[in-house]
Amino acid sequence: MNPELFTPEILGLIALGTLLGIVVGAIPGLTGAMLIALTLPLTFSMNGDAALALLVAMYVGSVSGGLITATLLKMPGTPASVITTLDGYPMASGGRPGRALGLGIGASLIGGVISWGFLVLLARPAATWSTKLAPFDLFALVLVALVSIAAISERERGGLWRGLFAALIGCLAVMPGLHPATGEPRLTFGLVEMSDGFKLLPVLIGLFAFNQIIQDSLRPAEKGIETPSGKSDRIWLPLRDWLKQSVNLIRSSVIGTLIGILPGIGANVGSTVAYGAARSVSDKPEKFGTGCDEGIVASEAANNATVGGALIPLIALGIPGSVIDAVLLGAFVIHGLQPGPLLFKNHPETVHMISGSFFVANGVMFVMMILTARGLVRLSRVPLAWLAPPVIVFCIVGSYALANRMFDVWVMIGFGIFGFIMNRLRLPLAPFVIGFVLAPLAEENLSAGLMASGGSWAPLVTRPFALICVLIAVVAAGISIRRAARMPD
Amino acid sequence: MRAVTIAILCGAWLSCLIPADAIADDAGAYSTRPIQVIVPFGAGGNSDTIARVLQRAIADHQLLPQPLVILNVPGAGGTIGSRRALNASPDGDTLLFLHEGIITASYSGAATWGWRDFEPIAATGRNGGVIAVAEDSRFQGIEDLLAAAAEIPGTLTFATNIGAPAHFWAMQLEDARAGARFRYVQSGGGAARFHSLKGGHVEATAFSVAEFLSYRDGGLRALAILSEIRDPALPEVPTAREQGIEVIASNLQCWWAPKDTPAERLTLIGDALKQVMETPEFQKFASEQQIEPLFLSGPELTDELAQREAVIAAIAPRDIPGLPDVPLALAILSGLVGIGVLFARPAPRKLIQQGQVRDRTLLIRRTVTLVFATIFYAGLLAVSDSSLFAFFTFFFLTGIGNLLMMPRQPSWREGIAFVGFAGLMAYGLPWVFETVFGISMP
Repeated sequence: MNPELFTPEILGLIALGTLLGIVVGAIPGLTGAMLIALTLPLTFSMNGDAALALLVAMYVGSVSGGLITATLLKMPGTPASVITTLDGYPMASGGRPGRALGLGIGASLIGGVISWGFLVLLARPAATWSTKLAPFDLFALVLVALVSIAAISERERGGLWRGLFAALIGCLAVMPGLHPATGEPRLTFGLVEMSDGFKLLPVLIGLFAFNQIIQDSLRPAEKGIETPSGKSDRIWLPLRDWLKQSVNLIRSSVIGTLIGILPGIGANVGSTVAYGAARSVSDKPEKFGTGCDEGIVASEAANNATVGGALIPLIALGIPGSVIDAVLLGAFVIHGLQPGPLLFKNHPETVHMISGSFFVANGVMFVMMILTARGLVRLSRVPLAWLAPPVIVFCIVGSYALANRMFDVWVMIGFGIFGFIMNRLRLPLAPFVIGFVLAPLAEENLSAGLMASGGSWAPLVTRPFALICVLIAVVAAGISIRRAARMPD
Repeated sequence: MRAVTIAILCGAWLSCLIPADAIADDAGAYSTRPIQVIVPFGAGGNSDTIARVLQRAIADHQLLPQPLVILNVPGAGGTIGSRRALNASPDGDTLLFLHEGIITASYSGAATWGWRDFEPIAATGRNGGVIAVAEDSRFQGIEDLLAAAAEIPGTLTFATNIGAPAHFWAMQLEDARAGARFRYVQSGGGAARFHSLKGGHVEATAFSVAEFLSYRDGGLRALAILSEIRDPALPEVPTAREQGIEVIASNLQCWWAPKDTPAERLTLIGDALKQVMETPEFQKFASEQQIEPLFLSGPELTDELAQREAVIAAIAPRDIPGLPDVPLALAILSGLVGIGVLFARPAPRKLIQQGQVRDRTLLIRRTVTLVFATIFYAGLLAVSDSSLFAFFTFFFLTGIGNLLMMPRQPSWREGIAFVGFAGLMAYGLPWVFETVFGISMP
């Protein structure tokens, strides 16, 4: 009774999801994580596969939509397209907005399709291989993930410490509830409601939707940035321009995919690294930042490629690669699906649905963006009065609907305010969320490993895979501490 | 034109009061109110599916004067939902559908209440248990397995879900064979236990019959079934009793009402459940899902529950040694890293990036009001009847949007447009959520 991909219902959901994703991507106050976290409660009564198709389409749309305002208004609609402003805006304000949009949209499509190829090729082998991992191996793998989030954090003085600190308090925030091994309640402060801990969905809605509204409310209305009005040039670019970019496209997409696979590292890092790589191999590096084709292509191909890359560990191991993947993981659990090898065996149609809808959504995104890019710019000026109150109502209903209890609503509001405080202290939110998601995984596996070994930690160094992971974690931590120490004020 | 907006709002709010009151009065009458069934697990799970099949069949055959409504309250192994039923008013409007986890939870320490704090209505089915190993395991029968567990006690690894019925099944096995001790490895639900077994990380585990059937093709072998007789779906698997191990265990699906619910309500619902189990829909579902369609009620049910409780009470859960205190370790680590953050001199972000001083106070004031209005709104929803949802939402939307967020004073037209928008949202949302998405409102 599972729906097929190519039915009007599913294709309609994908089109709807992509469109909504593009729209929130294009509006600077709204993010993809917010849209997906708020949509998830609405899918409770839907079929799980249909829900995932909708959410994956939103993911693709939201990563892509940001390039419109980034290019035309120098206002990145999502963090993923910050790098696109470097070359997109100079080109657009230099009188070629169509070409700038065309390059970004086309590169997004190709980045998405290349990472889709990786998703199809790698997900199943990765899932099969993952059954061989014993609890200690998985614990060590999660350790690598936690270290790598901190290592990649903001490139400024103290960024490493703040990233690590945010990740650790994320781990701490998920500790209340039932002990993963003994099932005894802990840190509940005498509240029975707390015996289930803080659930992921209200925490995410609080951090990424309610907190965002608080931030937006503090921001004065934008004025003064005008849409560049050059001669109307074409968005549709000749094939010869694309052939010239082919090496750059493939390189940036592969970089984006690989960075997407690493847990905790979002699309913005993918585009930063790909942009840096494109500049360092270019024979005219001084042109970067003045509106050159390569810069836009590298950034946009890479940020869309991270989406497909991040889906690989999510489907194969249940380890989310980014904040949005953490929400998708919640969607799996709510619809009774367990990511991992068993998903390929018991629900192959779900795996096909995810990769299929990812592919289709990229195509839909391309067509929609080509047709609507110029018009969507106007959306970025929707006043807060029309946006903020309905978003808050959705936040409350969505948190309540998760388990039909008011407690989750208070958790949502609390974490919204908490997220705001973190933001003021320059503590990044992404490591916090990834810590929140990974800590239970780490503790469950550590407990299971210790129970199986009779309390001995030895398997952490006697099992080859675990040992390799531990070494990687130590080396990565060492390198980033050295880099942090060397960083100038 | 702020005065204009306020005038429009006041009028609109007053007009809202009338229908809201009418709804609230109407909801007081017993005959129209649906019976809420709390399923303390997520939508789509095993318990939820059974409850929904029964609910649909009851509605189709009109076995009860009021419809049943399923409310999923998942969390903490079913104790969040069972607590809500425990505290519900005993008028027969709130029921609980929960299996034997209600007994195991009170003996594993997860709940301070037990099955005697509820009125048992009926049992509507039983899931058998299976002890399974990997296909290439050295064990051929249950006696083999227990002999190995007794040989060097506490070394044979057994994947379990601590506190859940599967855990108590394994402990019953230990009790049945002198000296047998498993080394329990916490894995979690059926899928996780299957993974541990398949990956060779544990030597044995327990499944329900339905779980076993869905994983069998993945390379599992059943050693024994824990019922009195062999299961028709697994005729080749001998019972534990046939192999000389006196263990009978299963999972009983039960319906409960809060303590002191009137007896005639219990009988009414019990009779409806009895009738629904005889319908062809349920019979078909039960045979597909490997649920034994057993019906128990009244003294029969109480005796059965007391008997099951005695078995569970006799097995004392053992402490699990050698687990690190993760929260403490994390607290220490984050304290240390926090010192690092302080040394790195974090410059707090400016509250407002650009803008005039006048702007600044205004923005801060509106943001603080926004947060407090949200808390107030959530508070109202928490203490009020759900029929007032639309009213409060309208109040909130217009108040926040029109009075707080409009960058300048709205004109008549804008004011009316916004009030219309808010009304559409406030009264449209409950309809969209409840009818289209099937979500119950706060």
